[in-house]
Amino acid sequence: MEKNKAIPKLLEKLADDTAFIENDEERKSFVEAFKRILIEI
Amino acid sequence: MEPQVASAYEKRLQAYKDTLELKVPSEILIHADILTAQIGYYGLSVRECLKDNEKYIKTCTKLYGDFPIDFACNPLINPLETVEALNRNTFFVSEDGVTVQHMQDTPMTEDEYSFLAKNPQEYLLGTVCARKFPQLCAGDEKAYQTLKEAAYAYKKFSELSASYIGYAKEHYGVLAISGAKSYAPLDVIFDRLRGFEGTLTDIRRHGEEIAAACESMLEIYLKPLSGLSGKVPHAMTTVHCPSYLRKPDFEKYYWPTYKKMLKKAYEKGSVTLIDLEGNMRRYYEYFADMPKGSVALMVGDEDIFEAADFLSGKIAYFGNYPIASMRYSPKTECVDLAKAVCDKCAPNGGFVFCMDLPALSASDINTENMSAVYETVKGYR
Repeated sequence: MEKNKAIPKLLEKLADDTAFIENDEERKSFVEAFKRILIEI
Repeated sequence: MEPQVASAYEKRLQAYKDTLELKVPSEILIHADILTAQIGYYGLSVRECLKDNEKYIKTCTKLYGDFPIDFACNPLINPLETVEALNRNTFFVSEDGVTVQHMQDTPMTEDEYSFLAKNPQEYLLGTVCARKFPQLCAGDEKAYQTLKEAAYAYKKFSELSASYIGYAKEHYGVLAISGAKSYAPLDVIFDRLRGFEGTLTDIRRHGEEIAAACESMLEIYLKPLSGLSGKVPHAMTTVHCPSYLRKPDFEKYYWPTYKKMLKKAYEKGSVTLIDLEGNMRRYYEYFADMPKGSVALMVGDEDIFEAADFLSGKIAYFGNYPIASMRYSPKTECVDLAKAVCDKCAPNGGFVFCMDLPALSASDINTENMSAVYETVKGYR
């Protein structure tokens, strides 16, 4: 089974990307929800 | 909110809280469960809705002025533009431009449950998502820009959903009841990872591993429930795979983790509204064992009169007027059936009048019959 760290790393980058969503709490909460969406689509 | 709208909203909210507490509300509430049908009914397409959000919201929420409906029902429930940004086709718009379909996808193989159980986040993002989104694995800036584009699309989708619900509440005083998605781990496996055939076969061959995987996945799927506080808005679940399970398999593989999710919502002072797809009569006893007022059921294919015999006084329930009757039967028959449903279900309280299936295309809405049925329900004493 292949393991790939690329997507987790991209998600970490998104979780730190203040240009995406400025507010820290809001951004981290969004990224958690976005991870679930990636699993669903 | 205008005073008369605020008053209508407060009245509905109290009636709904009373219903959830198994009391007789001031009036029977109506959940029309009209999804993409409202888009077609008002002459729009999904693409137009995604392009002109203001027009979409102002047009489709007319539904709540045209019919005596008590619950806001967001028609666009799938993040289509996120799916498209990632070159997927798991959800797509049909040729009619109005209905949205789901394409089954099975990115997990049957020998991988131990990895799912050991570290679900690492396995789901590092293995399953890598298979689904190879363009995100190049390790370059383009991959990040693609992910960010998908994230923006999802942000837009979330904001659009909130705007639709907010506008419906603000201008029509309808209830916004969805506070969190409660997604049972075995349904995640069934819907997103292994599909219908794979899951049902795996239960026979890898039962213990499935149970362990569901337990590990709980951490991920309990998170959305942490923001709940109070009865309304509350958690919502659409239950999928149990209608295909044997009762002993439900008890072993579905119920243990899902019960923990129901308890979590209850401990937060909330409720879980459970939309039962298929015939779930054989599971009512499990829900009845939960603390009173912790769950409400949207009755599935079960006969509403038999369902009422069991549920009345035990669990609040939404049920279950046949949409086919509303579409095709003569108006007098529709009204008589509505009266019979109310006669059976309303006197003991804890009941919301609802359709048996969601309305997806404009042809699912028969204006004359729907108006007559809803007026009958609203006038019921």
